[in-house]
Amino acid sequence: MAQVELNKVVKKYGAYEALHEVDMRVENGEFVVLVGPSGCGKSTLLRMIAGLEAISSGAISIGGRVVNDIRPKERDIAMVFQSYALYPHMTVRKNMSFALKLASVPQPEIDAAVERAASILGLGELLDRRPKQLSGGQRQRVAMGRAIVRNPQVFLFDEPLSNLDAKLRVQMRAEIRELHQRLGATTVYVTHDQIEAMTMADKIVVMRQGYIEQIGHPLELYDRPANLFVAGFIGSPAMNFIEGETSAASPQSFVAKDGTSITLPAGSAALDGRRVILAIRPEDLAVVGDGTPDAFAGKVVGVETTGPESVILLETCGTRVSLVLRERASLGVGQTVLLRADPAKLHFFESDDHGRRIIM
Amino acid sequence: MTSRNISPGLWFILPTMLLLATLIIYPMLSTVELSLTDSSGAFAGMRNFNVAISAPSTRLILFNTAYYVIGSVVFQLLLGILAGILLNQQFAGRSVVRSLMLIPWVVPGIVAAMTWAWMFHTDYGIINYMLMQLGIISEPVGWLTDPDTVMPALIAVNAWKMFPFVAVMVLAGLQSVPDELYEAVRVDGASFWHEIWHIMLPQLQPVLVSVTLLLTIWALDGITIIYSITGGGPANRSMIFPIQIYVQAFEYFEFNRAAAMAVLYFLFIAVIIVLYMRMFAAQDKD
Repeated sequence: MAQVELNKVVKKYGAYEALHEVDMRVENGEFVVLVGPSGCGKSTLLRMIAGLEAISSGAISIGGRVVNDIRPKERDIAMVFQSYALYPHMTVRKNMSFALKLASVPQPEIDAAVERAASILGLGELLDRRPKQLSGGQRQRVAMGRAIVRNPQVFLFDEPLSNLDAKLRVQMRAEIRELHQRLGATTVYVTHDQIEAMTMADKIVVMRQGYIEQIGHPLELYDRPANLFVAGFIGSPAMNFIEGETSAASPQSFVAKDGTSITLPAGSAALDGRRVILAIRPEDLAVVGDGTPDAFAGKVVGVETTGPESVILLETCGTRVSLVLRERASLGVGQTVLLRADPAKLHFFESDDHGRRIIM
Repeated sequence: MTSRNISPGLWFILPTMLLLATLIIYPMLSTVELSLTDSSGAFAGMRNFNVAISAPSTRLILFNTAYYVIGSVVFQLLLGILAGILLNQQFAGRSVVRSLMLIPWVVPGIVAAMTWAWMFHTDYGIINYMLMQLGIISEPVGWLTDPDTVMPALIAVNAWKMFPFVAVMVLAGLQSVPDELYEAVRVDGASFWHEIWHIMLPQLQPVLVSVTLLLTIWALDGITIIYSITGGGPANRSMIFPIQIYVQAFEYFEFNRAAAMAVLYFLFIAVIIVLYMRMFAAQDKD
């Protein structure tokens, strides 16, 4: 086990800079998820840790040793690829033992390591099959088995679940998480799926266009997103953003573009008379009855029911917002309802390009 | 049966079948007929075959044919695989080198043969000249006149001529190997040699099986190079079966004996190819 440290890591392709001075630290035994939209540089970063991409400047160290110029095989890492990259002409057993064989580990030790990994992953029956005789989930497990067998310092996962169907993905998510708890290995996991990030990570690193936008515990990112990008990226359905201005009068209120007014909690002095973006999660909005104080009107434009909950799409405050109800909705499209935002759950962001969180 | 009852499919393939019958089946049957008759057309039984088999040169010619085919195919494959793997790597000027490599294959066989004949010439050839300048040999080597060097020299020409074909096929095969496989094997601790042995060659196997079959067939009926460089000499030392058939038929006008040899050669090749297909059809199931 080891920690991984990235120090001002830059990746350039010719004149184009794909990663800009990235700093990041993965603690011993931690499960860190790199998440972001495609093209944000997360896979490049992972491949640089693996040694499959050169580092343009900065330093990467694994277990306290700078590995910039060290080849992948000497970094003591194991990687699980998106396409699994199993060797097609080898049986599962040979796939799993290949790295140990290259390292000239004695055969009895190899056999023991393969048996152990196979029993952890439930691959015992499949050891003599070829990859093409396996299902997607089984291939995924073999790819993990190949990584486990080597007992590496760091596990790297590059979107390992994106080729699986939704149901299997949920199952494998739990399995990987369980495996991590069992092995306690330092893990860096790349995904574009924020739900995977939220459910699996000890720590999430949100990336966009080669920059790290925020690093933190999943719930920290959920409750206190550092900027509009993170706020919009983490959480499903996505957070609602309402543009408007705050008034300095007392009690303070937020006035949306269309004139809708939302009362702000006491102590919002930082917001005095500014153009801001008010944000609220869909579950922090509620449909309320007539006469409720601080309520504002919205028109229902869509209802999506998932079974346990309903997502209501509404037009209000000059934009479209969504609201999550923990019940079956009896609302119809075109109906006008009264809404109330939980004042304690309001977020505010600068209305400029950076969209930084306004701390109150 | 009236024409209405015949499956329309048969009508569609009829023209092709007629063409094949005229161009392939009739000549084959005619050759068999020739091999069983004498020059006056009278039935001769197995006499032509007996003469062909018992001729003192037959063993040497069979040996030469095997030598030439095996030598050519082995070196074509080795050179071609090596070139294909090298040309699949990243380096400056790769596309230029890739195009230049095709030259031996594109040059007409007769042109290549005549050029090499001059290069191998004992007195005026550039090969002897260069080797003597470098001090590797002290007197000219009779590449094409010495019984010990003539076959290796001809094999070298044939390998040079056909290796680009192998390289192109290998290159195409390698480009269909996903990058992640190379990356996985690199993370697993493989050297470049391991990559070749454990990833490239296994992935190329289906390509190589077909290429080897083609090369073998081409070497078995490859007349151009040997006939135009040595004509089978010196003293039959580079004589191979297809040339011997040609010489019997069109230089000695022994059509019946040539036909008997052609039938024997056909059976010989058929056996080789059937064995080869068996071997790899079995491997595929595995």
